[in-house]
Amino acid sequence: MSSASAVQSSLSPSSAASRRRKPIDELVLEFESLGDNCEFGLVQRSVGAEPLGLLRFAGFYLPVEIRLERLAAALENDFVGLGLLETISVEAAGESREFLVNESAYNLMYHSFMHEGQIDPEVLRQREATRLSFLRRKLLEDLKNGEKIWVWKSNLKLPFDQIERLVTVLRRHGPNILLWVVEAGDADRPGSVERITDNLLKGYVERFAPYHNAPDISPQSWLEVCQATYDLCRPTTVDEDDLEEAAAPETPSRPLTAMEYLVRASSSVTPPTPMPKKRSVFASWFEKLIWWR
Amino acid sequence: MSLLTESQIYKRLTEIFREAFFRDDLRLSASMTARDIDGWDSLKQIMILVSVEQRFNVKFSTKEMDNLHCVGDLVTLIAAKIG
Repeated sequence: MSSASAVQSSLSPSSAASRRRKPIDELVLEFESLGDNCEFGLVQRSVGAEPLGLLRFAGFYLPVEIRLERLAAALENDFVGLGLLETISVEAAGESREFLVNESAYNLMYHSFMHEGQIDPEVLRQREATRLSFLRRKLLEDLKNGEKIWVWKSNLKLPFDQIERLVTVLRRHGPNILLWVVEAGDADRPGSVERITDNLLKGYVERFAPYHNAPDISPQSWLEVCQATYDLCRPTTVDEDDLEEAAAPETPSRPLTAMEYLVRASSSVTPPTPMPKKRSVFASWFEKLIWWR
Repeated sequence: MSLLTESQIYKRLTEIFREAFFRDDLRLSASMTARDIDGWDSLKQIMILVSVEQRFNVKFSTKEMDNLHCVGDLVTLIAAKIG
């Protein structure tokens, strides 16, 4: 946004504040994905964080162009009716015969990781109804608390008024902040964050994973964006004790902060580091899902 | 729900975990975390919390859920809820 107050966050790993920063796996828990797909959920997983979130891995089974509009409408409507048994169907698909879950009120679709023969489809349907109700309750509570920083990304360039509408809807629920993540252009530094308004920040990542291969994430600039956003939204004051501590020798056993993680991992931009078995599970998951265009 | 001892909570919780992970040999300890059980991801975590809420007849807030770091935390939380 050219009209925005260009507050580019600068990260300085040697500052005292950086030494007080949260470990990376805790930092990413301050954020929750709203879509448009699972990319940020996988970034969280890449550093070992497994938060619970309705839209972390479930997504709107709709064309990419209208997902944001549908999200805003669903949030406006409090996702009412989500989890009703009659809206849920399961269907075994593909060679693996894994059950895919379809939710018809909001056109959500996601994997169950359960296969034919492992569970009765009706039992699974009821379990998913309970799970969606649970996640809806949690989402509404998180929105009301306003403690999470909500993340929206899209590989498409969407009209700014749609982003503004999302912010408005989020603010109706509570004191929420939206981090809008886009791919960095020539003039943007990947990993930087710009404050558009008090409640809207725009982060620039090096690149998004293609929709057809969502696990192909580039987490480094995502993590920088998280750190920069957190620094802007939740600034910490550094007192003299902090400065003294910062001057003290580093304790090798403590968890890495985001910057330390990034510095150590910066030799190559690598995909997430789940166990090989998990990677193959997720690859097949996303390859099979049509809606990750 | 009547007051349960910690060992009774562990017993019920073990049943929930065994069902969730399809492992009859699973034994819980207070220090156990998601790193200790293969396949304990966010989907399993939801399944476990939903089952706990149903079987212990309790409800957890988001903050309570976010503060669960190990099985011992969950046992403590359940005990506080039903106590």
